[in-house]
Amino acid sequence: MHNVTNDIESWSIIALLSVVTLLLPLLAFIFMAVIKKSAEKLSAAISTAIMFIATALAVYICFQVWPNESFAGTLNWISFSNGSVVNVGVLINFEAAAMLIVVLSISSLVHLYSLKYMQDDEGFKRYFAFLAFFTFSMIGIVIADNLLAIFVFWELVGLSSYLLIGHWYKKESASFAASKAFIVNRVGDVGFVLGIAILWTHFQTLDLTALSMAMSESIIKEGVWEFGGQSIDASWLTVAGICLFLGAVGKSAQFPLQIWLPDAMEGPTPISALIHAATMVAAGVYLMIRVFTLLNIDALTVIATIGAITAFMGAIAALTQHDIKKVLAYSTISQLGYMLMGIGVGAYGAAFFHLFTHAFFKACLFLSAGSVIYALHEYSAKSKNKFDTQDMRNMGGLRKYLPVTFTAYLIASLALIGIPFFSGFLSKDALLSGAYAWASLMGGEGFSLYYLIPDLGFITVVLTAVYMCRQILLVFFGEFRLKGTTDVAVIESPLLLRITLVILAMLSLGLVWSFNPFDFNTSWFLSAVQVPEIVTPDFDQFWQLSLVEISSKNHLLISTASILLVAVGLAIGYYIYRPQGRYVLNYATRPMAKHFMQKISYYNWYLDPFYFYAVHRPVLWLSRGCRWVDRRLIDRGINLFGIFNVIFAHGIAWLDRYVVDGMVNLAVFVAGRFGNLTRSIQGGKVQNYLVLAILGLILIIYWSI
Amino acid sequence: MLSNHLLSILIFLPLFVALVVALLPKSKAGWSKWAALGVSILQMIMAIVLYLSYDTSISGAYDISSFQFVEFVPWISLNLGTIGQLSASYLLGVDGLNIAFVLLTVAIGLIAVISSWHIDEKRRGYFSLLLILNASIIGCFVSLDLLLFYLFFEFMLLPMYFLIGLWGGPRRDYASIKFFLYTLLGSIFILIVMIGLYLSVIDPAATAVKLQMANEIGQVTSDQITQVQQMLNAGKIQDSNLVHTFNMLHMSDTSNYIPGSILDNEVISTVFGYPARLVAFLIIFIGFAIKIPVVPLHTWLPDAHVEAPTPISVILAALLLKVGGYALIRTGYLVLPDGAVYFSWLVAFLGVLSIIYGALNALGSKDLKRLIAYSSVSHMGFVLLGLASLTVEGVSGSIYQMVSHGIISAGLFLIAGVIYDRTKDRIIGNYSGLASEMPKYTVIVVIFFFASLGLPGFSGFIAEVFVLLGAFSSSVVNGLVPRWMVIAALAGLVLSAAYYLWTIQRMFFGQFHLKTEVKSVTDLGKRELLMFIPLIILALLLGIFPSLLLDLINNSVNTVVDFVVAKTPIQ
Repeated sequence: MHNVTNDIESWSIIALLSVVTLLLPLLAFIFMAVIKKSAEKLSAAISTAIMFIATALAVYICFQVWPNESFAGTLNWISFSNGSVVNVGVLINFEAAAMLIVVLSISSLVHLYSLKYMQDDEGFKRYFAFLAFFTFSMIGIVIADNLLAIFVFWELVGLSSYLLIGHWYKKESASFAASKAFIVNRVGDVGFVLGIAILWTHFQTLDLTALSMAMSESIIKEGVWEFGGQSIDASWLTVAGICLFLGAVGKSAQFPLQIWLPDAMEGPTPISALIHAATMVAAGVYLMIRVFTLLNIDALTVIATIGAITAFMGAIAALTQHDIKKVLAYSTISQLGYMLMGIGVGAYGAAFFHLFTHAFFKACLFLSAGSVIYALHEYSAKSKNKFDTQDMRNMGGLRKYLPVTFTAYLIASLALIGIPFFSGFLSKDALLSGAYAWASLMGGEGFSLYYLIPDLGFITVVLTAVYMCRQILLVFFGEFRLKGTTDVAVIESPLLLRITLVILAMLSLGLVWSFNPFDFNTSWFLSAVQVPEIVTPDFDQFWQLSLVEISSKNHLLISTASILLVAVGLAIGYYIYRPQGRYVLNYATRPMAKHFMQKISYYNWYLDPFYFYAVHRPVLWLSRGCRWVDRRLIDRGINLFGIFNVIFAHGIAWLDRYVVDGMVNLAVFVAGRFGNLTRSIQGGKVQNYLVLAILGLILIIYWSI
Repeated sequence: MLSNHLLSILIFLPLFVALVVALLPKSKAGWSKWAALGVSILQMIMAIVLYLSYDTSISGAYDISSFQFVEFVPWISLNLGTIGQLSASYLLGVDGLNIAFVLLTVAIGLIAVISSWHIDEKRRGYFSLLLILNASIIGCFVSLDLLLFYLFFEFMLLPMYFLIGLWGGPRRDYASIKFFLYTLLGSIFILIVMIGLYLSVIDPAATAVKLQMANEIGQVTSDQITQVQQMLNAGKIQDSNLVHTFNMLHMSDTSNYIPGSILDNEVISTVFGYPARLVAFLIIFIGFAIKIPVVPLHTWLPDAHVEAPTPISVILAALLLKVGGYALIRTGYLVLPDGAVYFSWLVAFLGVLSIIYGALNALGSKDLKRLIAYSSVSHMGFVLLGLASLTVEGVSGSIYQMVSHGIISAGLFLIAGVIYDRTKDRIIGNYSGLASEMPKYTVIVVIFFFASLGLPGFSGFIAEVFVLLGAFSSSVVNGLVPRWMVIAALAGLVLSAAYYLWTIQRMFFGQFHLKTEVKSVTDLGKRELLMFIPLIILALLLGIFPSLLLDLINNSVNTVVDFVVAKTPIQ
């Protein structure tokens, strides 16, 4: 179908370098795994240095790719005798190179941060080893050019996430969260595998380039999808797209599988920043970008809908959490929903742009939260007062004690809310414009259900402003709610932590990404993202209608609207959670959610109980049922059959003894002996089988003669 | 000279040493394990020679000339007068279908010996039975004559029965009898088909000799064979001149069937109104399905595993089950391809049933060894699913799965053995937080559990993915496996993650706590690590470089698929 090189010498230098960036973290992993425990601090520092070197390489690769180059190299991995071949290779375009920078830079910063943050942890060595392993697998997803190879790394990323969520494995909640994350992800992965199976069945290849070539030759006529002499029902294209998306639903914590991400906060905070905010969860979005050419209009509509719903649901759930990390986790779910909505509405560049900006400001938020937790942990140790260091009810007024952390947190929050001059504003604006343009194309003039998608997006803008405003007010403003207990003061986190925060906060500024902080159209980043030229045949018409152009024309209207909505959200947030307000004054002793609406939010739409009753329990029942069938039906049946045989043997023996006694004295002797023998060994079927076998033999001989 | 008889040496060396071990004086009983180890190492060397000199470009499958390391000795020749002549031969050979299993047997044999090191009850008996078992398994894999195969197949039962019955756990009597009777039942089914085949197939070369067209078999030309076959089909050969054969390769060639015989595929005989060849496939399928095992014929397996001593569980899971799968291809698919195609939906369905039912049962198991036994049932389901698809990917995946399961399940049963050795307790709920007391063991467990649940990088992933791809594309390529079955099988992937991770969570995570009689545990020792590490390396190698195995089997698989599909035009 396309030429396969089996020769690594023909690879371009950039393709080879990308493999080096893959292997460096693997090297760090092996290094961390074999090193002695006594040398763990030094080797972790070396491992960190390796990450920075890899980051430098990634930046170099990105400059080489800029603005519109792409490099590829492939090797034959598996070949079957019927000619089918599975290759592995790399495909480095701007998106891949940019993603490499995201993964490696944040990973390096998290390494640096963890050197201090985790220094007293007994699992220090294990932690750094898995961190490096995660980085390795994540880079694999980024650079691989083949769906099966992507899936390989996709699973390895899941493994490292499992191991890192369960880092404090002695805590029941952590080990539970780890298993839950892996199993829920597996559900999505099953979809991914099915998608791969469908594509393999119809194209006999899994290479991204070959698949997009095949797509360019495809036509869809009256529900039949034709390409290369084959014709199949066009719905398979939709199914394949949705199946691949299912993989993303799992990894990127989309509705209805978002339940694992809040629990994943059981892992150490730097892990939450790297894996569960910036990179791994974005892998689903990245996958959709890689396979964008395969997504037809129906699949895209599904993606947009799920994305918009998730964005809304996550934002609602973030409103009432008390755990500082849980708020951020739900916020991540919501923002990932935005990105996938962007993919679904064809705002390809915008979705990727948002992935990029979000990675930095959300990593900054998590690491700042980590810094707060670190400071409170030290405080807790010094004042000998044990309390939950992640509960916002034990915080308040921290800006006075943690000025650097506060500044970083504030900048990143403003980026998340979408205030002009901050990075999030640009990317969110691009997403909303895209969604609006798509709705107007799909729905035409007047009222249409398609408008629900941008509408949900706009509502989420308000909600985002409210929950972030709440969090900042509860954590950093007002009075420190544990102040009265001792006279020990909370002190700012160590230098190493602060350095990382400052770097990430700077990357959350809008000026870094666009010369005009009000207009995403002028962003150098967005202009570098090349929208794919080949898309599915049915989506092509929308491409022709220049979705992108419409969306950039809308931008003034959309950005004005979104600034207004942010203002509304901030006003609401400030009004409810203002430092001297009723909510804040009673916050330290705030009871569990009572009102139904609050419960919906606090318990994340009751998804966990729903799965418990709808899936967990029935599966356990089913499993008990199977055990019952095995023990009571099959085994008992077999035992009964055995007993029946013993009785049967007795019967035969009786017949022999009293009916045909005189005729076959010898037979009686043998059968009697056999009967005794079989009675003693419980089953007693031997004799019967022999009879059966001989009968069978006689019958066959009879027939054949 | 030596290499001409490599397969025979592989079989008879352990048999001979078994005899020597059995006859050792009591004072020298300690030598028996060293003798077994020596044999295993020698076998390993021979297996490496076999692997290195195996030519991957030759396909084997049904053509004797493309088998390698062939050994042929006429064995039984009985003149039965008007019924014709009975002939059975000592015919061994390897091709892509069985070479991997021979290598696997040798590797697992060595590991089983190492894991038997601390057995000190009736050592001479134990090690000689172990060696007999080893020999008969290899015999099963390399025999190309059905009677010879059957002999080894039955012979395997004997040492297994005693090894479970004498060295097993508390319920060993029940388990060993159950194992024995179940497999004996399977054997009866196989025997019936074997007799049917024997009555229907002739050896054209031997018949040519009988007809005095040539002086000895070696001189018969291919033209003469064709001539004999034409005469046979025209009914020109007298019954008394027919040389019936057990040679499996002759059974694959439809021109060797006697017109009007029970399994002839020209004039279809019927059994109870059903075409005899289809019935024959069904019967032989049931026979091997017991061995594989396939739900609902699997209940001997959990009992046998739970009661068997660790090394025997390892052999049982890693090798004995594979004999069933391999023989199904060799005798079921290659000899009765029409039945294989006709019943592919059933084979696939039972495969999917095993995958899901086995996984659900594993989820509900409280005993660690029982859990692993049911996971075997679940994983062997993939073998059937892949076979049923009759696509190159599916059948390759299926063989891959057998080899991979051989490696991984060996590790899993060794894992169960490690904890049982220490505490004499296998109940999952009696352990908690083992990770803090046994860190090395935990690492090994996590590796094997993830390998078994199909984590990429390990062999199981390659196998399962290709079974699934093959089975799914079957709906387009040949229409044998319906899509919904493949989709249902995917549930097995989620369930396997669930039962393994739940086990890790319960036994290894949390605070350390034992509810067993013994209150402290020690971490893995050197000997134990020595068993695990080669298995991990093998699983990783096959997971990262699939061509290591695929190159061996590719040509044969292609031939099998083409053969089976070509023999039966699919509507």
